[in-house]
Amino acid sequence: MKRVADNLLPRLGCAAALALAAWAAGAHSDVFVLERAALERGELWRLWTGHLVHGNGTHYAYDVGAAALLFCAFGPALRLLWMAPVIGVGLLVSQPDVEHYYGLSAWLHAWVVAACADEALASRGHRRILAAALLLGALAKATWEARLGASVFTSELDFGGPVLHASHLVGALVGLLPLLQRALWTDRRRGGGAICRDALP
Amino acid sequence: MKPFHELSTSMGLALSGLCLVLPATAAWGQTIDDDLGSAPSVASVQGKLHLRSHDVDVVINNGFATTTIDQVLANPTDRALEATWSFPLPDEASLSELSMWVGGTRVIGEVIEKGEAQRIYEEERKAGESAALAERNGFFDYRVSVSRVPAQGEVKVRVVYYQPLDIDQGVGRYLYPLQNGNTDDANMNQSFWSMEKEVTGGMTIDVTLKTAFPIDGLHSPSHAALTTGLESEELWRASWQGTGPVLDRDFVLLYRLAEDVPARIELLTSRYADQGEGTFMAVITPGDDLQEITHGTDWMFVVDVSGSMAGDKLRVSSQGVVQAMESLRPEDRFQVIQFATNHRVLTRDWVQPGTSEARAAALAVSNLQTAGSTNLFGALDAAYERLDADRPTAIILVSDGVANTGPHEYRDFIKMAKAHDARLFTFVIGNSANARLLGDLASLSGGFAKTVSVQDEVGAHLMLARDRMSHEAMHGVRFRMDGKTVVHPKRKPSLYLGQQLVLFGRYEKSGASELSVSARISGEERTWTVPVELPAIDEANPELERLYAMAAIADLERAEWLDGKSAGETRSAITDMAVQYSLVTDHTSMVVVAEGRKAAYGLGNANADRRAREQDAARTRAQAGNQVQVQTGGAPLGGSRSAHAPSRARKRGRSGGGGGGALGPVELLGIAGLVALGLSGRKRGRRA
Repeated sequence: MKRVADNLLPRLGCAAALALAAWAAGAHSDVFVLERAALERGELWRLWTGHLVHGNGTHYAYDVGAAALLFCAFGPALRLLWMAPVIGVGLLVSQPDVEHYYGLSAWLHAWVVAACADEALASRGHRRILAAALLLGALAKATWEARLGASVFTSELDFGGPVLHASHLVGALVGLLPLLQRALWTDRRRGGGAICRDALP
Repeated sequence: MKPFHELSTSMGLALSGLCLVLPATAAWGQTIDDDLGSAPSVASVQGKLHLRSHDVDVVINNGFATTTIDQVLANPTDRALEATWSFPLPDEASLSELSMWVGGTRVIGEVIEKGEAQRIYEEERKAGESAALAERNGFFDYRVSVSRVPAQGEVKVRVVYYQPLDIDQGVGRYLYPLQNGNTDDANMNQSFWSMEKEVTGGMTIDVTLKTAFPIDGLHSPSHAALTTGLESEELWRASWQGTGPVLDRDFVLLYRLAEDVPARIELLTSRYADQGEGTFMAVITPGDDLQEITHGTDWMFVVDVSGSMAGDKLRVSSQGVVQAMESLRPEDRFQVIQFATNHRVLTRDWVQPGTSEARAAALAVSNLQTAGSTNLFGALDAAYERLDADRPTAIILVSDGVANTGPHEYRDFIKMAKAHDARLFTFVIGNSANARLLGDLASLSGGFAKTVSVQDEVGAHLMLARDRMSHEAMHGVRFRMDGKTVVHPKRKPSLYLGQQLVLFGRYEKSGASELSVSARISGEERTWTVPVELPAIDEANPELERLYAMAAIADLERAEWLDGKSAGETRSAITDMAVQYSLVTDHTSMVVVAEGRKAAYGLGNANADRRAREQDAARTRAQAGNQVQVQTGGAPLGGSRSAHAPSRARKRGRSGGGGGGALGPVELLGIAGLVALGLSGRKRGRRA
């Protein structure tokens, strides 16, 4: 806990920077929202900035609040940067009808799944079970929503526009990529074998 | 303590502000037994009366609906209480009966001049007699007072009103308004806040639906548990019942006619042997031969964000506007203005659908927040100033409809609308808007007005405007019949694809006649003539007389508002007509006193006799088949089918859309759990 406390200031700084960026992106959403046509014109920054745009204050508050919690607990990581465009590309490829996307939640799903996977692998006993249960729960929820086309928990809230449920599943699947990457990397280094705690950094 | 009738205006407003407001729902009670005429502190008596039951019976018979509300007020206290409540009615509705059971007998109210009615009611109340009073409070609502609900006793009250109904895009819509009204005025808002939502013994709604054409189906978007029964293709019944807090949302009933119903004129008539003139209601349904227009249209969305729009109203409005923006054609352009006390343009210039700017505008509309009062004039003026004269233009105004800042006289708005050439489509959310003003503004500009409930699909209504602007319309519609006829409303409206026009009139000559409808379509004058039979005697629809009178009074009121100089004469004409037809208006009220005390006030039985006649006719209609004349075929209205095919808006799926990802509170809790897990793990790791 002391290590967390030591790092809290920079982590809060990251969360504040994200909140500020999301607020600024909302004010200029025309140039930041993830839009298929704009990507085809070469405006690739939207793969990152699209996640920062929000439908309304409620949407913004929930997303930024969740991101702040995750930042405080786990701190920033390089993978958060590459996950964002992968989610965007994955969404546009897997959902040909989708012309635009905005919001942090797909990215947050990716982060949650990746963190659960880390925790499940790094822990033992009850903690491992709990982390695995959270991981499976997140995947099941995202799959269920994508299948139903409706939110499991958010249907009563107004987020200023239609909720694109498939984005959560895409985010959750992208969150599994670090696990896959680690498995493949470990496989090569050790010449095969299962993922195990020793393989973790 | 001051006598009730001597209370200052402000106190009166405060008191009226604290009455319960709902279609016939009890109310605050005022103790009246010991100190007659005194008004105790409102807070101390509010909520003492209970609403024991609230039963609504609706009969939709071709072009008009009769709504009968029976309710029982119960007083559980040991002192007699006065009850007061208010309720909104559609603008064109006629309140035709207020009755009360006195000693087991139903006593029907009579209509007289407003001040005189108030005086009689007050005298009866002070004398400790049973009396009731129904008054109209402008376009806001109607108010009913019952002088005495006995201690530990009950009073049963009935309210009946008629309203014309039209079919839009093949879908009929009936609304029983229950949700709050819509004003930024503090006193009015207070009254809605204190609305009684609870019916202790239960509420029932029974609907009988009868039309001249087959009905495909009916459903209620507001009351999903509505049970429906089909007796024949033209006769349906539906019912709903509930208890507890059931008076907080509008009842909306939709019914769809079969798709192959032809273009037509439906004519309902009424003429008794003792009447020199007959009355008719004509419903005109154009055909599907109004051609599609391919050139682009400029759309100006004007969205009300005043304080009274807070909550569901702004949510459904902004969602509807976003849907409409996203469904525009590529050749269209749009701008968005938000307004409250001041207005703000959300788009820098005209925006083309499907662009980044359009997406930004949609997000901005989704983010609208409410605050301030309603400067409708300023917003419309700004919208008109930004129009491009070279392109066809439509202004979509979404508001809950009461202008209370800036110029707000009827004549100011009419003058502004006349000075500009742009179609205005008004969508009024809520039940107490100035529907007449917004309807007249729309009609004058060649557009149309719609009153919608938050229970409706507002987006679908807005998209109808888009569909209609993309087709030819019939402008300056005129209606003529052989012989001497008078028709109301007098204005010459526009008629769009799928819309109906409802007119009321009087005729002198009976027998075979010709009826003609003329209109301009794309600049070309066209006329449609059909033969009709005007009966010498027709006792099937006496209610038409009141509906005709309401339409005539609405035209008189327009004249009164437009021309202040002749207001006195107009007022006198309205009063005379309202008394003749027993109608509650701004200048006349309906008062109920016990049968034995009517003579003392010179009250006759005009309304009781009229109601008896109407009830006889309703019983006959319930047993007989449809007695509506239907004329079909012929140009320019007569496409082989009416324009009842589902609109493009309804057919079109949401392809090419998008959206946002979103987390809810439960997901946030899950994340918090994960965070706690992560933090606790590190703690234990350090210990280890």
